[in-house]
Amino acid sequence: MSNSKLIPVLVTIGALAFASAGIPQEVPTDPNDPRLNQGPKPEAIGEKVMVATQLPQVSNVAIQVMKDGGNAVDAMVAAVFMQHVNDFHQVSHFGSMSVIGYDAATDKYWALNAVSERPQAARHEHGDPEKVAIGGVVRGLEAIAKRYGSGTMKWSRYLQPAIASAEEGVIVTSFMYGINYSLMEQGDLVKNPEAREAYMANGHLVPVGQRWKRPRFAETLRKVSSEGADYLYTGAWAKKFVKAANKKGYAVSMQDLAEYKPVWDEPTKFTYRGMDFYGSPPPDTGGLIVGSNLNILENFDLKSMGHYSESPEALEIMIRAFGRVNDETRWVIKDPLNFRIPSELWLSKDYGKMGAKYVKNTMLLPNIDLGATAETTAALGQPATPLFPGSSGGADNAYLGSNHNVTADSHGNWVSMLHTGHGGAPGIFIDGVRATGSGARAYTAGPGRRLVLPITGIIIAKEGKPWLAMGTPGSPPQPVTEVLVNIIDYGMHPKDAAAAPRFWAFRNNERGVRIESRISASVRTGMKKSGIKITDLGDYNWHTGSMQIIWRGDDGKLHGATDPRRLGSVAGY
Amino acid sequence: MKQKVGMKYTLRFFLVVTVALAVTDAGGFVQESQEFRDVLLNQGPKDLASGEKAMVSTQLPNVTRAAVRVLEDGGNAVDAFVTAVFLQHVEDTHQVSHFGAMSGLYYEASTGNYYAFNAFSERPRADRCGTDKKVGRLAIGGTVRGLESLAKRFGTRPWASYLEPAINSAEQGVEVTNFMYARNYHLWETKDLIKENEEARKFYMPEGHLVPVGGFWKMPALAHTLRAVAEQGADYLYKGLWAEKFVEQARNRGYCVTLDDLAEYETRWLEPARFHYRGHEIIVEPPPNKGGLLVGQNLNVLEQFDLRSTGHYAESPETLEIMIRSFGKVESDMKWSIQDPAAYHNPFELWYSKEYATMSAEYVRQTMPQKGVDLSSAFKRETEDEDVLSSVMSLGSNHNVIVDAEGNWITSLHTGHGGAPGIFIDGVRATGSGVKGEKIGPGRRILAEVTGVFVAKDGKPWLSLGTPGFPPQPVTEVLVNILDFEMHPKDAADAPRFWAFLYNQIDRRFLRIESRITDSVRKGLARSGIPFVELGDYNWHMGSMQIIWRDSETSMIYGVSDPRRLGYAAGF
Repeated sequence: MSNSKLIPVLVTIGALAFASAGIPQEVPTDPNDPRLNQGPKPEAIGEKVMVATQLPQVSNVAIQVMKDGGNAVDAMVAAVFMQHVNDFHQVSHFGSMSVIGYDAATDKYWALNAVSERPQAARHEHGDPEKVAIGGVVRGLEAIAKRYGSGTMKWSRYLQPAIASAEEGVIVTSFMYGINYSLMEQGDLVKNPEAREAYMANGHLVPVGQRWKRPRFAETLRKVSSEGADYLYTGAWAKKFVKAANKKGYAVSMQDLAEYKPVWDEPTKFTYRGMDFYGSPPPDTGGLIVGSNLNILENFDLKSMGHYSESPEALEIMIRAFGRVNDETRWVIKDPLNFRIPSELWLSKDYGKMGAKYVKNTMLLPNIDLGATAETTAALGQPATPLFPGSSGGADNAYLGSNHNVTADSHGNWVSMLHTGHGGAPGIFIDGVRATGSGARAYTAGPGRRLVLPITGIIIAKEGKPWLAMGTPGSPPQPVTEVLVNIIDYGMHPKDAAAAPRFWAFRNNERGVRIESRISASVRTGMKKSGIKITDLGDYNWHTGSMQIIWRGDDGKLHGATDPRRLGSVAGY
Repeated sequence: MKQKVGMKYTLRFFLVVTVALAVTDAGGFVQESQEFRDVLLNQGPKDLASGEKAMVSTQLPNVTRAAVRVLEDGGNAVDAFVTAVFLQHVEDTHQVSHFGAMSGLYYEASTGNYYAFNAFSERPRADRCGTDKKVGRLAIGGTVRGLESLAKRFGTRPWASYLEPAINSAEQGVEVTNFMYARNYHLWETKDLIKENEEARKFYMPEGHLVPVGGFWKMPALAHTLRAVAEQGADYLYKGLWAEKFVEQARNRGYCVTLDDLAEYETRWLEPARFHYRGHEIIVEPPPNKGGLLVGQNLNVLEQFDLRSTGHYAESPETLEIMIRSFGKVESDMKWSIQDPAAYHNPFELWYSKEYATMSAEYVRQTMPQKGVDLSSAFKRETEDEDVLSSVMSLGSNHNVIVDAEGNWITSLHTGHGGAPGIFIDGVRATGSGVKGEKIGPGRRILAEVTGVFVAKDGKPWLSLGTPGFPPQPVTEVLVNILDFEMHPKDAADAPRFWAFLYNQIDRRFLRIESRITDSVRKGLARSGIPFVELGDYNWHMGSMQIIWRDSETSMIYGVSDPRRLGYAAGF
């Protein structure tokens, strides 16, 4: 890194700036600090509260809110605004969010979907509605703050840390620099003069270790602070967005924005090995896919076979179960306002047994070995498939977008939430807000026009109360299933469960598995024998996500663990 | 300019027909004169055929006639079938290959047994080659080995007699039909074979250009190969000179194949798959072919619905949507899981269980739009997308159904899918196959979506059918037309066909359907947000259904052929 000599100087300046804003010193500003890089992170233990986010300064803000009398929902709302500035490369202020939670006062598990939705095609004579996505995150934050917030926090309090951070500038990490670089290398955004100015104020990207200031974004956040979410939906920003999108040939109107509403729902509920699970409901695919995966796996004694990174038998069962669920669900998880969804059928134990039979009855016959030649592995793959086909527009480049956060407070409230980009229209960057649209599947007619995204929040209950909550960005359903199997079947500590090798099976029409390389030689031989092509992802691959986990230990305390694959931070007291 | 060319062809046509009328071959086989404008040699409705003893349904009048002649001379269904297939290697050369693939079902009247034979192509063993050679699209054809097995097991005629009509036809020339010309033209325009292979160019363009419609196309090189097969048997292609040439040329092109791979190729005799649909016993081909299992699972799901009460699928959006979603569910299920049973388990029993069907039908019901939702306003017909059709172009293959006087029935498809890219040897086009198949282990058959079908009453065949061109969904539709809607088989074959959600096209998930549907169906599809492409009133990609059935009261045998392609049924 050519910047490495500059770093000590910059760190000093950065630390001083932070201190002057009154933010506690413990937030790292050295870009080489392990907390701002990939690698193992320590477990956190707290008596009362716990937060798990993807950056130390964000966790810090969430903790501070709870110290000031806020609850888990208040902490979450403030954290998300903070991430709009500090994890700018992964999320968007006009993006999507989906959240599940537990409200201790009413003893109720709840879900809110504030994922983007397409405009009504019928309303527009001109322009393409299919790449426009009306972002939902700020409307969603407004809704959860109102219904489940402590009621002691002013709206402006949620935005205050984010505004300060946008003005003072965010220390650029290697991870952030990498994504900014790829955003400017590919996609339409670089053609937008305002985006160029925001990303490259001096004509080049802000390098690692320096502070990246966003004065225009701070101004937008101030407006949202004073006018509420309306500023983005009926106010000046909304008008600018509609004008810019229409000019680029996209169909969207002020009415479309004004009508956007988050949808309250109930989490998808299922059981696994006697435990109650709550997951993100449709149109998110995560709850149903994780539930269906586990429903099949419940019929196998995985533990007796050994861990899937060491036992080809266990891995093949998981691969085939995931493949079955992937094919079954991919057509039919849609916005439930438009379509029926066979949730009960999928999650019934009878259906799980059938799935398990299917898995067993599609395996190789005994004594067959498809691995007799080196050619097998290569020949079965589709040679020209890129490892991570990038999506257009750059907003969700590969699977590196999104933040998943989990918070738990002293009242017993828990929240598990993902927010991401997927709002706007291609090429849009207005007043510091990147809003480049989404290619995700969604209808442009009927009441159910929300994007179908693989969002996967999970809360596991013991005796009705949350015991463990988790989630990850990336393409979560399969990785989340793996971590749950690690914890529940293999009895691993959640930190080790998150660190264990992860994989994706039978995705993107591939007859094979993409797996992190920390697998035994016998697993490699076994996959070859079964004709399942292995694509190595390296020891840890940040595309497979960033698991954020909070659980209540046998000691009665709250514990938190985060993923070694990306930046991540757990904190509690 | 165009006018001039047309006149020249017309002139040539008259000359050729005159010559043809005069030709009588040495073996007494009369090349019957035909007009290329004859309805039998074109798309359009074909007559219903009836007979008291025997019946043949194939895709060409000449082929049907040759098969009928064998039956009249005392040959049985297998004798007639083997003769027909060899003749198709010449007369339907644009759809099949002498080094192609074949599979089917046979009912033996004397024992009441049903047999399945699989002579589909298989991959060579990759472990026999170094890393400098690739398996790629190389596939060892099985048709002639399959014909040999059939003839040895059930045939009554001398081997060489099966090849006589084919040899005569290759020598005298085949009258080029519109369909054949279009296929040859397509091969020349779009494929590398004719461009890069000198021998292929000579074969297709003996005088420097394609033989035009109505002209007679002589194939001396193929006649020579057929003679060698008549004398030496299938071994000529698997161990003899042709095999040696094939291995040498394929290896020169970088493909992995050895003479051992060819020598070891064997026809597989299998137990047919059986299931019931609304009380009818249905017998289909088992894996490694996928077609039988797909038809079976389609019907198993549909059985859970009262299709009759909602009306015919060409008129009722409700029925059509049930069928579309059922087919889609089955496509998703089968995608990874039908494999060569020599290497893999198959979830056959599970799929055919009524419990599984009940759950699948639930899945179909519970994935429909919510009541009152109307997605029409966002509806886009994807007709502008040119990939929609070309991605599924499927004009190859011949399906034949034959019944003889003893009551033996055979129903079988043969096709190309053998060889390796760019290969054309001694009149045999053998350009390989991209269909999935393992390259290691005992189960290396390619997994073809084909099946012959028997519907049995009291254990005996009552009706048999089959078609080329992605058969599982069209076959299911025709069976539903006959068994649910009680349509006459001829009308059942004529009725509009469709393909739903082929190959898990997740992002471009549309229906392809022939245009003879009601506006209420169009509106219903739009309302449910199912994009569709209209294929015109009749689309030859949707297959060529060959059907034979026996009237249980009069014992008369009837046969029909599809209006979508050429075809002819005849009996006595």
